[in-house]
Amino acid sequence: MKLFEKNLATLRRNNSLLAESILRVKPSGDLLSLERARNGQPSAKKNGVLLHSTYDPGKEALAWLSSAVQGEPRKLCVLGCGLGYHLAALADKGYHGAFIEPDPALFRLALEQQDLTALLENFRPLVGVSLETLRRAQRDLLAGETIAHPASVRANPSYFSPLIDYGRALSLVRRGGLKILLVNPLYGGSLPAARLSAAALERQGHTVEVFTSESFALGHEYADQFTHQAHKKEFTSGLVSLLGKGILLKAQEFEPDLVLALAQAPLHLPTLGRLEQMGIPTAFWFVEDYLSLPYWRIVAPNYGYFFGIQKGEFVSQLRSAGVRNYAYLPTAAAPEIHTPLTLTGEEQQEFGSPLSFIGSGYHNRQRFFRGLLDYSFKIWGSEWQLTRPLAPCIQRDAARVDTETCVKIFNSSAINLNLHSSTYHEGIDPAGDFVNPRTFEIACCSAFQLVDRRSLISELFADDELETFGSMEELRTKIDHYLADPAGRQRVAAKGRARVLEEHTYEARMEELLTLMLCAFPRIAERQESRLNKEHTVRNALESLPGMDEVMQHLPASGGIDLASICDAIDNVQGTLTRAERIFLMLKNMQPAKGSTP
Amino acid sequence: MKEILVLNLTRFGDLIQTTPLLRRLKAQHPSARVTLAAQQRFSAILPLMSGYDRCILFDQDDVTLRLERDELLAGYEAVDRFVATLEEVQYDLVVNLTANRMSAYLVSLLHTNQTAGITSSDSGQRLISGAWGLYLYSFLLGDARRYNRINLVDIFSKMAGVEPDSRPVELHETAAGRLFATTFLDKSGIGTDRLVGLQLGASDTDRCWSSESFASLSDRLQELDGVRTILFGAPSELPLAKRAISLMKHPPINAVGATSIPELFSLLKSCSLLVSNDTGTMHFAAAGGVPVVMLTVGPAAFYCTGPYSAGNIALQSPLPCSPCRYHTECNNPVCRDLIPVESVLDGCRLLLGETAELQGRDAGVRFFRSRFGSDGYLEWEVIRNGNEPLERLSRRYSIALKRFLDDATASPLSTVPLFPELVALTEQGITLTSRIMKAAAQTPLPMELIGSLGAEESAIEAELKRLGAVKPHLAPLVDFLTLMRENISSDDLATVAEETRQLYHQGNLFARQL
Repeated sequence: MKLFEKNLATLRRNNSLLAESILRVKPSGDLLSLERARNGQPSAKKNGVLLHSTYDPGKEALAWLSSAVQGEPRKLCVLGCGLGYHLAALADKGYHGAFIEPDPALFRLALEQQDLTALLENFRPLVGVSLETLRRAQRDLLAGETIAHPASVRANPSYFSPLIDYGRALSLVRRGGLKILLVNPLYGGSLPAARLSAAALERQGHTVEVFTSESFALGHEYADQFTHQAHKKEFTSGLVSLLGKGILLKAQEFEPDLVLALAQAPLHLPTLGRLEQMGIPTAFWFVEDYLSLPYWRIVAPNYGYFFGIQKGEFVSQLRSAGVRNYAYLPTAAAPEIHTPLTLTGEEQQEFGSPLSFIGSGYHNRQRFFRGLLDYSFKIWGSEWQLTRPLAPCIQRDAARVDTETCVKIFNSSAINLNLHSSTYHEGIDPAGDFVNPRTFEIACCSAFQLVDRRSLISELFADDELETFGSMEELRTKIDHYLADPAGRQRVAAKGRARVLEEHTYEARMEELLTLMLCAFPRIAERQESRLNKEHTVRNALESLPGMDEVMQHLPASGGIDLASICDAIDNVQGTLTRAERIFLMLKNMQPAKGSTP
Repeated sequence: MKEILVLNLTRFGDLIQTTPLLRRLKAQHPSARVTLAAQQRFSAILPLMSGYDRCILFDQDDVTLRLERDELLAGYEAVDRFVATLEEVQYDLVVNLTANRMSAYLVSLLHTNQTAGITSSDSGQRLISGAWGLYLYSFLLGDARRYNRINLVDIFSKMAGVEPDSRPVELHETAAGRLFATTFLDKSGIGTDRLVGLQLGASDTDRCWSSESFASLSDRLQELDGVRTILFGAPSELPLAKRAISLMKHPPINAVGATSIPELFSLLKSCSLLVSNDTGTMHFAAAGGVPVVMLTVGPAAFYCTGPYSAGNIALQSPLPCSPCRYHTECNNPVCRDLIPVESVLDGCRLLLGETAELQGRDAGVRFFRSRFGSDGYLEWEVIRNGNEPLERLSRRYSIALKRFLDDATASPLSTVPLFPELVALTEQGITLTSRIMKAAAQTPLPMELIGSLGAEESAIEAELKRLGAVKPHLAPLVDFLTLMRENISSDDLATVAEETRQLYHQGNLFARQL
């Protein structure tokens, strides 16, 4: 046991949480056993697979090392820890990074059997972490160089195989250059998420064509002019059908690698069917509560991949509805918008308060906030009844607040209250699961918030990154505490912002979404790779052409290079046109008109 | 001159219209090597053409196809090869007869002492070389071409600095073509009958007389003594021919889609007459000495691009909108219906020698006949229903233009200018730009003064454009001056002021000639 204690001490120094959890793990699981190699070294069998040589595990690790890894010592992500022979060999050569092992019992066995202290200094252990959390929290690691311990993969293929695929797909996604047709919602609160998603995708070097369904919002609203429900339905259905046709035409012109739609996008079943026939994979990000908007039941099975902000029962219901691919993808913040600000005295005066809330006047909020009237409390947002008792708190006569103002309010309030909406609870929804965008947005501003406790919040934020409440009493206690502790507020807020920047941005969400799409639909990766190779060839060829130096500087660093982008770059270069530039301008004037009849 | 390049990356008809230029260039510069650059797709006509020493072909269709297939580098390489071939020579003169931006960039890449037609500046700005080049783009390719009375063929020549010679476009028959025509006509049992060719299609449907009318005309012609009709056209026009034949009482000889280019020319040469829309076939006939009855429908304008030979007849509807502007999408193209079969037959009978003058019922159709004028240019005289005011003004434009374009300082024919408002405006422009030039020579620059003078000059420019818009007969001259302004490529204030003054000066001389 001396070995275990020695290892644990090292582990505790680097990762105390893991060390504590390992202490609670049973030394061996049902499908895990300790074996002895002929040379006396310990070995192990997991799920019937021998993890190390039965003759000489140490020698085997050295042989593996020489065949699996070449070159200078560098950062690696190693899949599978076994009893640590291969990791020790890597550490001995100066390699470093992290290793991933799903089975804490196996890791404990390794800690008991081997001296892993040197190894633990070089490799960060990621033990017993779910695939979903790895995808969200270890993006850079997975996108880097990954090597697998073959026996570990054989022993646990359902964990490691998707991880290997994910890593490969992620590195492809990070090369940029995917062509995405993004279908905006026709109406509703998911439009900002759609726009932020498009911006994030473009920043990541993908080409995004946006179908701006919201241009037809007035047409959609016109449905209310009909007296009969049947007429209203018929009109709306006709509009959605027209928009579906528009989306197909866009798809035909743009030839996307995939179509991404957000909640309330006007993609009905015939459109989805046609996109499938055209060989274009589809994804839907349902950034809504599945209990409030049940239309997902009809559309979800017809998407190639369905992404939602809930888990648990929702996943079971999706499965029953025939959904093939589902992933949990919570909402996010946009650091370019949701950012710490220094406000003027005037702004601080207008927007600042000890306690504030931004959001619509849902039933539960109207009820719950009555318990806070003794605080200096400002309520911003629409759909609030301008009658007592909340009337004195409601700002700007309950007008809608734009994003820019929201950010100012977040930044100038000592405490931002965040209560998830409900149309029938009296206050907190005790079964509330998903986390609203506001949680991420406030945190991203490095502003302090008190948010009602949700079942999915603890895996997104640690206790010291976000303060939650489960009752009015708890809320009031925390308000009093934090109003008196500005330094405490700053500490939590700073940690919250760091976590958002690390994991909860639209860039992170879009990256995860695309990577899962590439895993599920290999043809996307094939198209992208072929396009990227072609672009690489074009870029190399352009670089070798005399007189293209300046144009090259004006071309996008990544993503598609075509005649239009080259000619745009030429337009941006001043002075005398070079020979090569003139030839490209000739080509531009020979280009056939794009587009054909569907 | 030692090296001359003629760049004509257009179609069959345009290439035929280049033949007088090639002939005249050779005559004027007998020791020069003349290179013709043409599109591969239309190269079948080159063996029938003369006047050039070598030909460089460009497979533009292949480049377009590669761009369509997203094969950018292959497209680049193909253009690069073509340009490189042209770059091998230092030219004394490059004549660009291709009216598009692509050719402008191409010309700007070539080594030449002199350019005629469009090119581009070092920064990519479109430039039009020479006064005749400006004329081409303002009077012929612009919207004001109804006032133009100079044929494209003659403008091509003048652009290149050679004179019209009263001779038609020309092609040379090949032995294989002649053999084909003889065999084809023998098989058709033509005997001693006179053949009248009918060209039903055109590059655009809005230039086409109806197939019903053609069918009726064919029947009426075949009812004349010893006349047979023969249909010409590309393979793509087979459905059109099929439809027309189905409407005919007397079947014609059908040569649609059955001939190569040399065979088409030989077959056409066997005809006594061709009735045609505005097509390349019409130019083949002119080159073969076959008289043409040209049906000017839609934007077709016989003055500009009619058959370049003497003795042809052009028919035009009396509609005030005829010829319409390029790219007009007409919802009611009645101009084709207002040329009745009877009138076309009347023209045919005249050219077949059946009658000495037009004898049929006057349906209001305008009739014109081509001839070479004493100055060597092709002209069209009215033989029935001319629009006299328009003809008078256009003739005056034509005479004044020829004098002005050849020698801007030539004294006006009349001391009373036709458009005194243009003379006055351009004089104001000269005075104002002279003041700007003086101000631009000062140090430091009097920015306020220059700003206010600039604003006054802009007002004159705006007034000129307004005049061009409200008085269509002034539009060609205003377009001409606008193109001159677009040709100013300098960033230097003094140079821009000097060139703008030149523009007003030229405009003033032009307006005084009228």
